[in-house]
Amino acid sequence: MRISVGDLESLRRWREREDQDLATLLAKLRRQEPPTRQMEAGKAFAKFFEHATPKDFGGAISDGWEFEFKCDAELHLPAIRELKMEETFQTPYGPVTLVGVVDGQDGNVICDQKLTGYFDAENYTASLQWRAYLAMTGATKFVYDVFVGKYEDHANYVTITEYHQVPFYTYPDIRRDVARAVCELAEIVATHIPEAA
Amino acid sequence: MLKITKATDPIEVKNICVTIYANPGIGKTSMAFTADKPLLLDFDRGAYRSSNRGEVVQVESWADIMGITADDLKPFRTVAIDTAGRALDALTSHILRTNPKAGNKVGGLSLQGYGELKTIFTTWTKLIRSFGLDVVLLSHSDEQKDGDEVRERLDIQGGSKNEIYKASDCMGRIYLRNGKRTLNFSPTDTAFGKNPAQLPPLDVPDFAQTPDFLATVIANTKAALNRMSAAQTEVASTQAEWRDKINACADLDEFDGMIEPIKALDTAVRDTLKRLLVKAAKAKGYTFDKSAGHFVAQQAA
Repeated sequence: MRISVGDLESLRRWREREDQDLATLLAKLRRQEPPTRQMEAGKAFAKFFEHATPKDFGGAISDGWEFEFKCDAELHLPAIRELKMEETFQTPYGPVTLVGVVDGQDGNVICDQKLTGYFDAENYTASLQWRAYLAMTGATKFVYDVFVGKYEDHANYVTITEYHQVPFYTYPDIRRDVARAVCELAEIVATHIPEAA
Repeated sequence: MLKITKATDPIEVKNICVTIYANPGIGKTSMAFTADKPLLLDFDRGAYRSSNRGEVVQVESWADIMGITADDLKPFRTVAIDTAGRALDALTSHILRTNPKAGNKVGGLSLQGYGELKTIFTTWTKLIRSFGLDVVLLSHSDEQKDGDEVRERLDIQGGSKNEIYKASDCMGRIYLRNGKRTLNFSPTDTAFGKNPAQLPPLDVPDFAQTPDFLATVIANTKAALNRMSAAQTEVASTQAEWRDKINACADLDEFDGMIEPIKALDTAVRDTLKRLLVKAAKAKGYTFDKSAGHFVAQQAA
C-alpha cells in the first residue's frame, strides 16, 4: 500500500472536523475531488519557489498565476529543492510505503512554503506533515514559510499581504506518532478502498 | 517585496522565548520564579499565590511596561509574562484607547488594530530579548472537547495566539501524571509542544529544593539549539560538497560510482544524498534498479 504525506494530513484534518463524514475523506484519498482554485494557485506558487534564485521580487508569474508581494518577506531558500522520499512502515495491514516531496532541505532543516487565505498557526502546529518529513529525513527542524494571499475572484491574481515563519522541531516520539497515523490510515484504506491496499 | 537570500552562517542562540501552559493553579507562576534572575510581569494579578515569589511588577495596563528600558532590567536575566493572554488583552485595550481607527463595531480590534497588536507585541518581545534576557510566556490552557478526546490549546484570544506560536522557541505544558506534576515539551495528538532540546517529560520538583529548575531547562534548551546550529553547519557543508559531485555526474558509470561512497557516509547526510543522486540521475534519463543495485537507462528499467 502506498499513501502520501498529504493523505496523512487529510486524515488529520478530517479527524478535526466533526461535520465531515467518512465519504469526504475517502473521496480525498481516491483523488476524486477536483482541485480548487486555491489548490491550483498553491501549486503554481510552489513551482515559483522551486526555481527562484536569490534576488528581490515585487511579483512573480508561474503556471498562469500572477502573485504580487505587498508585504516584506525575507527568506533563505535551500539549494536542495523538491526532493522526493519514501519510507516503508510495517502495519497490521501489511507494509505501507509513505511517500512525499519536501519543498526544500538545507542540512538538517526542512522548509515548506504555503499559500493560504488565512493564517492559523494552530493548523500548522497540529500538522502531521512536518512530523512525517522530520521522521522520514531525520532532520531536526522544519520551517513553514506561510504567505497569506488575497485571491481575485475573476482572475488568476493573488496579492500577498502577510508573511509568517513558523518553526518546529523533532521530538523523542515523533516516529511513533507518524507510525500510528500511518497505521490508522492504512486501516481506513484496507477497509474502504481495498483496490488501493 | 519578497527578498530571497542565500543561507547565512548560524547565529549563536543567546536568549530564547519559552511558552509554558497549564490549567490554573498547577504552578506555572511558581515555576517561572525558578528561571534565572526572573522578573515577573503580573498581568493576571495572581503572583501573590506563589509559594516561592520573587520580583514582581503588578501590571495595570500596557502603558506600565511599554517604556521598559535595558536599565530597568539590568538586575534580571529573565522576564516572565503572566499570562500572555492577559498581556495581549491589556495591549488590545491600550490600542483601542490610543487609536480610534483600530476598533471594529462590536468593540474588538479591526484588521488594522490586529495588525498593530501583532507588531507591538512582537517588537516588544524582541526588545526584551535584545537586552539579553530570556522571555517566559505563561498561558492558561484551554481544554476543547473533541469526541472522547480533550485537546489542550493556549487560552489566548483569537488570532493573537499566532504570535505566541511563532515567537516560541520551545513550548511545554504542565499536567498531572500519576498524581505528580510533569513538564512536557513534546507535542502529542491532543496537545501542542516544541521540544528542540529533545527533553523527556520532566517531573516538576519541589521548588524549595530545586530553585533553579526552569533556569536549568532554559540553559539546556539553549545549549541544544546551539548544538543543532553547529551540526546544521556541518551537515549543510557536507551536503553542498556532495551535491556538487552528484551534479557533475554525466553518465551511468559516474552515477553508479557514487553509490558506494554515499552509502559509506554518516547517516545524517546519507539518505538525503541518496535521494539527490536518484533525482539527478532521473534528470539525465537514468533510474535506479533496486534489485540490481545500480542505475539503468530509463527505457531499460
